[in-house]
Amino acid sequence: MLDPMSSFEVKNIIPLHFLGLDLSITNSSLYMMLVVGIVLAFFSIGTKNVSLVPSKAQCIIEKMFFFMGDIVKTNAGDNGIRLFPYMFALFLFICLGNMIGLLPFAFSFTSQLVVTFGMAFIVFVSSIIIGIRCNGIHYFRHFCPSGLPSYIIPFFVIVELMSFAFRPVSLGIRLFANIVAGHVMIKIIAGFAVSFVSVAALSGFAILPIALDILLNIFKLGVCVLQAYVFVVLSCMYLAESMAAHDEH
Amino acid sequence: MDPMAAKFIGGGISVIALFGVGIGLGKLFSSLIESIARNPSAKKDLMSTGMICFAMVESVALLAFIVAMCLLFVV
Repeated sequence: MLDPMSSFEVKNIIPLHFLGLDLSITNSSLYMMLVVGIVLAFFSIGTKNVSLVPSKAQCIIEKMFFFMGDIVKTNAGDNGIRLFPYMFALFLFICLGNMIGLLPFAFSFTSQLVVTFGMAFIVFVSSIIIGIRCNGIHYFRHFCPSGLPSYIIPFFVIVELMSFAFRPVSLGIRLFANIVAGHVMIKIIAGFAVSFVSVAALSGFAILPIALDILLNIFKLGVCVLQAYVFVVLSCMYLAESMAAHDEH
Repeated sequence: MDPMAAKFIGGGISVIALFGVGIGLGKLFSSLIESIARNPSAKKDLMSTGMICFAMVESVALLAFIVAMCLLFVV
């Protein structure tokens, strides 16, 4: 009960095996579907009667739309506005996934390394594909800028390749570690409250960890949005960089 | 050495990385405040860059935290 790692367990709800693949509905995939459902429902309600004078829901949607549009435009340039639908979907998915985990008894799927790393890996692979589609074979010159002395080129290429390969790792682990660390911190401090209550003389002091927990939850709400923002900005930069790789030569 | 003791000592050692993170965050925010004070009209751009840098520096601390948690609870 007091083990802070117990809330990250993936539980199988409906076992489902198909062609040797494990397609079971777990609590992780259930919450993912829930988040997608919330976003779809909110957007379809908000944009049902689009008017010049927006309703409350339409106001929120427009605000988010322009906020994301600004981010994509400043980080990927005017050419990168084609990335906008993907980035908007990614932002909403991560942000709501982080936030839904803050509810009591809820499960946050972004605390699973496989989910965050999967999203980062999609960005990584698509940045390679976009780079090759936009620049052809010249995309690979990005790893070896011209004008270097010949003896330094092998080291430079190795270092560039390594830093390129570590992008999805750092992108995925950052989100994962932030969410896990926040949840564990909240749970450890809640554990202090439980151990205060168990000693009769000190039970009054249990209010301190509880107050701290409330503050931490508010702080975590900011971290949720910030991490989704950082994830989107970084993936935007990576994709835009591979789109514009030919500009340097 | 008792393996349990080694586990706890390792958990403690792994958060020494916070030393560097503290220095980094201090430098980041001191220069952020200084630049906003010099040019308040650039606050919006500076804040977004600053927040990205903050998340990057913080991720080092969180990696240390993950190592500590792995040593305490998983190993």
